[in-house]
Amino acid sequence: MDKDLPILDDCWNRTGVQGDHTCPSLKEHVHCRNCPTYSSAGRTLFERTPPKNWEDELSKALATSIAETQGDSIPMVIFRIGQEYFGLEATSLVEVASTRVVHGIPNRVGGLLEGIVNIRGELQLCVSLEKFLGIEKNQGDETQSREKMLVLEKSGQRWVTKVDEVFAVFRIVKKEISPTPATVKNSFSRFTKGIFEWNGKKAGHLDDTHFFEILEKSIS
Amino acid sequence: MSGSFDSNLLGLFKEEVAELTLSLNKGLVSLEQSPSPTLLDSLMRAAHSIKGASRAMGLLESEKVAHEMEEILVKAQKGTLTINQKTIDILLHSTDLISHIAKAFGENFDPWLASNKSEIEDTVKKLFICHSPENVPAAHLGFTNPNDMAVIASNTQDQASLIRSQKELSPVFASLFLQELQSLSSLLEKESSNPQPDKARIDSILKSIYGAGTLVEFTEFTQAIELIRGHAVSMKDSQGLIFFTKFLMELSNQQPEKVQSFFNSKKQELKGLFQSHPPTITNNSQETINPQSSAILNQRKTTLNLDNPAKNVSNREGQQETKDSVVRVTAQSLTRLMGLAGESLVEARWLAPFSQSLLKLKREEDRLLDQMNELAQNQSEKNIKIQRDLIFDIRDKLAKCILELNSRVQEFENHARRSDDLNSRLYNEVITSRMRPFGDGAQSFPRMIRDLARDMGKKVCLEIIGESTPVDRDVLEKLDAPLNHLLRNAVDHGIEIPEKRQISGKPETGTIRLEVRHNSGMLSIFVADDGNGISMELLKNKICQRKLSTPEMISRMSDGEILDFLFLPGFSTRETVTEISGRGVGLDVVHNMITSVGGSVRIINKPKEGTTFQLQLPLTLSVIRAVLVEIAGEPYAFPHNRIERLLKLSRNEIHFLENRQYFQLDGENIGLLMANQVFRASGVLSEGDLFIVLFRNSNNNPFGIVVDCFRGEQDLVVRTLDARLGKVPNISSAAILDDGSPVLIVDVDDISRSIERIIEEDRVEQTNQIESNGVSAKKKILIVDDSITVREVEKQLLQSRGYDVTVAVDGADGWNALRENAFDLVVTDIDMPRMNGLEFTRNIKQDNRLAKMPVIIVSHKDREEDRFKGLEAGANHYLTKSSFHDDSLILAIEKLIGKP
Repeated sequence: MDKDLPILDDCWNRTGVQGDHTCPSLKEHVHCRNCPTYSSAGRTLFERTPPKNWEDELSKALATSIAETQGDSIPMVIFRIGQEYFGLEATSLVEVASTRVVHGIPNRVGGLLEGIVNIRGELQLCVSLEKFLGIEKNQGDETQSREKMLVLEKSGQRWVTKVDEVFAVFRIVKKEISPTPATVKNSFSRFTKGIFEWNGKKAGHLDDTHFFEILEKSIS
Repeated sequence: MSGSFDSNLLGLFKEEVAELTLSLNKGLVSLEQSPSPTLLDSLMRAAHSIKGASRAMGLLESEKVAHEMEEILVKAQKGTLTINQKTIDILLHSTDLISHIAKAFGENFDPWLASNKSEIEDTVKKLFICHSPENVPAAHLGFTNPNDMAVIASNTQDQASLIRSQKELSPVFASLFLQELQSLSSLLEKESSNPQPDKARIDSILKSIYGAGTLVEFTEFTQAIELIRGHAVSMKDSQGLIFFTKFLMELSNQQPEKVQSFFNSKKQELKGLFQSHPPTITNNSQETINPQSSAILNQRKTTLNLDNPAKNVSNREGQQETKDSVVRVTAQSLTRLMGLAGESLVEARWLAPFSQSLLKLKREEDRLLDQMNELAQNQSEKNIKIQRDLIFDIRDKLAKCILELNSRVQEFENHARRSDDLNSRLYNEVITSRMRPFGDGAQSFPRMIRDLARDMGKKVCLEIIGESTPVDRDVLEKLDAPLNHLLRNAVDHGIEIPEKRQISGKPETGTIRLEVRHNSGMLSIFVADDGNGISMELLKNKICQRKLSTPEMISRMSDGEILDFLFLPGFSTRETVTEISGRGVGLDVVHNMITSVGGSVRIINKPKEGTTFQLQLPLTLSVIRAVLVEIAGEPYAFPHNRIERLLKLSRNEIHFLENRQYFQLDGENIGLLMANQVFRASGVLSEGDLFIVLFRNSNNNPFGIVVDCFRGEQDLVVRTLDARLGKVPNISSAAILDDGSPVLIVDVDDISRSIERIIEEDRVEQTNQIESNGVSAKKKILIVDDSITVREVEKQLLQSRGYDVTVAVDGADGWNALRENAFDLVVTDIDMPRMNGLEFTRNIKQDNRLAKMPVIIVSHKDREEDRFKGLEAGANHYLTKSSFHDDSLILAIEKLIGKP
């Protein structure tokens, strides 16, 4: 079925709002959804001719049990801090919020605890994942701020942390996660259960049970 | 029956029963004072609801009790039953029982049930007899306690008014009664004609006769029997007994209609009989009926409490702690919220099409620009007409665009206004839903006063004024214990016994008035009684006795000051300790509770006329008015009522004294500190004027804090800080500002203590110094050593060089200090308690944040292996203590972090 898809030029992912915002049409249309290029691309998907034997193919696809297609996979939210990529099990993720003001706690300067932050009208604790994992960043690395706040929750405790970029939630097949090689010893090695490849990059699979426990202990 | 229930369902059931029993209690007490059909109706329905709910949960016990209660109430409604004090007693007792059953219901119900089964059965029986005495089978005659019969008898006494009016016993029962009487009296005859009568047997026969008489409500008869029983034991000769037996036999031979008249005719003779034989007290009889029955009931009540695993202290308090606790909001409030939320959504949805319309406008303007460009390009053409047409066209289009834009702007303004209005209302509604009417918290008071008064033999009526006054949820909860105590005090100390009241010309029934109202922005509560008032003489004596003051001082004090002594812990003018009062733990707790929320208590005393306690409390604990300031670039809030003034001073108004800053105001010298210092936040102070917040601590000492600038005043909704933070020093709570950013609310008392501490530790940073540096403060060194001498020596040494020094007494203390503040270098000893220097160093080096911090070990130990160990642990330098006499320490420090 896939081979019959029309070839589309997904300019919205490259130069549009999902990309680097350099498309000239943006000046006129402000957002890709207002642009005729985008809407006509969408139309094409609607109005293409169905491939031969599409009923057979569809039934076969539906008949295949879910386990086979998805295999043993874990949904993970992929994000980036500095140059490091990480995957955290999506069950711990509550929401991704836009970056905002964090108010520091006096007498707790310079620690893991960054302060308190307002998420949906409630004050939550903000921690520095950067410091926790010991990642070094140079100032001015970020050309375009895609900073987001990750709101995480485990065993009833909520934590908010700032990350440099959040990609979507992806299903990572378990088999594809390999244990961290002994030679690689980062400051955060003790928190990663393994390494997997995503989008051509090596990402660390953060161990969320261990992780939250230690977080809690470090703060109190 | 205790199945496994969905805990939700169980919780709901318990809530419902709690609510219903509360209204039953309240209603029954009102019913006693002023019966009304509507009240009866609501009580009946409450009992009915409890029955239904119990049935749904499979809780047979409370279903039974509730059913019987309902029967009584239904009959009262119909008029076939009169409610009197005894009825109310038993109904109240049953209500308590239902409450206990419901509370115990759940996991460990069976053992509780086993131990309380008889109590429950007894109560059910009593209730049944109350409403259907004629239906009680003979087998039920054997009561566990004859006084129960007394209760029933006295109950039926009033009920019997119905019977008496008929002047004859109802035929069916009468004949049954007479048959029974016959057989019993022949038994009695046999026994009494016995030369050695078995007293116990006689007694039990009389008891049965008594029971029979009760069932037919032949009260005079039963009274007589009761007296006889007393006599039976004392009768030395059996004459009287034989006579009485004969009388009984004759009675039993009468026709039912004639029974009453026969009895009346014999009354005189019987009287004579009693007089000649004074009664003796047997084990079970001759106790006066009235107070004892209620005492028994009370006893039962207390035994029940002991068996009852669920405590009587309401679960509500416990529940409100948990996150999933249930809160009550009025249905109306929810409806309003729903409406506002819906409207708010409508307003929000308006925005999307609006942005589309703006987009359209924008395209128009783009086209316009294109046309302008065209015009500009065609400048060279000689065709003026084309140009002119173009210009006019452009002008028209532009005018239209401007009009369009105007309407868009207007529409948007309207939207903004509506939106603001809606959302403010929404917000206010939610805040208001935190308020509950005062009556909700006062539910248990009428019952408590009634029971107390009865126990003490006093007559008290409780008046509650202002039940609908809205009170903050939290404040209401906190009021429960103090009001409870004040009310009990009023009944115990205040109201006199009825006789005494009569003598003073007061009405027999004392009145306690509980009044709640809003008064000039505060919540005013009055607990006033019209009792004896507080005896100033007694009070003065007590004060002297306790050596709390001298007689001369006392004579110079005003009444108000003397009354204030009552709020001291352990103070009580009661000589003996009762369950109610005299323990002296009451009024001081009341005082503490009220002042802890920022309120005040006052006593107004009129000897012989009564006492009034006046409480003033803030209307809500959740919203405070605050002054916003900036400290180290972040917003902080000071509670408005704790600030005395805000000042702006120029630098030359600051004076120095012994290295500390202060300024003068109205003749007072006020110490000044940097807020950065107190909060240990980093930050640079600008030149120019200083912004100062002036406040006073609880001892009325003034302090001034220098902040970056003032930001204004605002009402803030107080939010508690996350529990994981623990107690943050100097901060009480947090809030969210209008722009969504968080703000921390300062704890004024805490901050005054911190300031005092800092002054003692001599760590005031002078304003001058910061300015002159231009960069942030000097290098900070942490010295860790358990010997105070060493600490001081090192500190002096380093401070004289210009470093900023902090000390810690051992490894753990040092570790804490490191976590709290940023340091540039650590100097540590090795041998220390809790965490030694090696461990400390290792921890530093392993910590992600601190790994880069230079550590110098200074120790007595100067062997090679010790040095090795130190360096292995990660220390940058290892020095021995002898190195103080030369510059090696200073040099090492300078090498690592440079000059101060």
